[in-house]
Amino acid sequence: MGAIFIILESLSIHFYANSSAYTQAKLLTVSNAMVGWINSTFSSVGRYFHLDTENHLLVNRIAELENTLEAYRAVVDEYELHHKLDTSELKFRHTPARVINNTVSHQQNFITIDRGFGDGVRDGMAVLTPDGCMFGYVVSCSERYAVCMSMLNTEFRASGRPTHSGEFGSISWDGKDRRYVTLSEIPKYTPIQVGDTIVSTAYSFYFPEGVRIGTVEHIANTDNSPSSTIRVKLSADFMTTDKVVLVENRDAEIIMDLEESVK
Amino acid sequence: MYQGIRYTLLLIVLALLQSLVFNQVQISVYFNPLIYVAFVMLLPMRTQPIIVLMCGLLVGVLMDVTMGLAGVNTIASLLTAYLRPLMLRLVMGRDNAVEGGIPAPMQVGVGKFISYASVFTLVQSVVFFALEAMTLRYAHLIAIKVVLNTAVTVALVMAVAAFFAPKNYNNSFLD
Repeated sequence: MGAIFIILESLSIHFYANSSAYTQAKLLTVSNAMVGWINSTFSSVGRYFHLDTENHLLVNRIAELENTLEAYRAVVDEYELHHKLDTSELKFRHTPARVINNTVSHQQNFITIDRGFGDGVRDGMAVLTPDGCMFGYVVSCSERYAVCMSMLNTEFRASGRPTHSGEFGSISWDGKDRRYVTLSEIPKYTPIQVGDTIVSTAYSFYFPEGVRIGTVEHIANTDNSPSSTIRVKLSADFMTTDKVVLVENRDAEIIMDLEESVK
Repeated sequence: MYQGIRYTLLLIVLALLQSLVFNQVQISVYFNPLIYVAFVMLLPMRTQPIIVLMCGLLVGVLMDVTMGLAGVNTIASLLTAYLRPLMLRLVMGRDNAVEGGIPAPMQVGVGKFISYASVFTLVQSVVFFALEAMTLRYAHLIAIKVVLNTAVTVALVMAVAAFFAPKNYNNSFLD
């Protein structure tokens, strides 16, 4: 009996010790392939309670995009006089998706969405809220569903910088509070104040440059460290977001191949 | 046969409650009750230890797949399943543990059941939250989670046990 326990426990520990966030995402992908429809049905019911807030956000976002579009239209009209506009040439492709499962109470939280590789979703696509805030990135896909690493995952990493500065640091979550992430390794001399906006950098493999992450809440400096640790209040609300936008960097594969070729 | 069906239904209900209700209730990072422990906890006291261990393995693997936790639930459930006979002997007394029946509040007494459920859930929670965190850097955070969720889980298991083995339930029928 004791021997059987030791064997089973050792196998479990071995599996756990060799796992990563990606192993967990793969497990969730298998689980979603089997019972995804249950989560999908339950999330459909829950979604009705957020419709009002969601509509408000979307209306604001549409108005903002209409303004931007208007500005671009003038330029495009001029451009089209000479060239044919081809959207398939754009660097980033956007796909809307619904969140069917999203946890915030674990240390390794994941988001399940109702789009899979059958809908063109690929590993590494950025996941943003409808109003353009950083939310996570895709780590595993099945035919109809995809599992994304939430920013509220202690293994999540991205780079961030203040909007007015080129100095950047590393964004991570310490697992304590779902409203805050930490921006670390940012040089002390960087001009930064409470309330400043933090956005993604151009060095991210997953996220386009300038995606809003949050605002500076607190700056901690220690004498013996050349860098600051900044507490960032997240712009995305992980409790209520039930629609997301996936962003694919169409050049990601080319860049990765190129980087691999010089290693 | 009847016993098997009852426990299969219990496992299904607990798995659905855990994955569709308690894993979805996002009150706080500190709130994460582990209701599924009731499956192994409520097995008849005279169940063969190897069967208890296999039940621990089953519920652990099932929960790992639904929660996406690679082995965390299995490691914790195997340990509690292995230690269950010892916990029963310590809390219920050797005679009661050998006599059999379901270790539920109406059958063994509320006080004894709370002691048994608390020790059982505490072991499960310590292993689960320590491994889930993957670090001991925030030991105080893990300790708060363990205490809070042990209390909530024990209360929930009491409710499940009251449904599963009510006062007039013929305990000996299961043995």
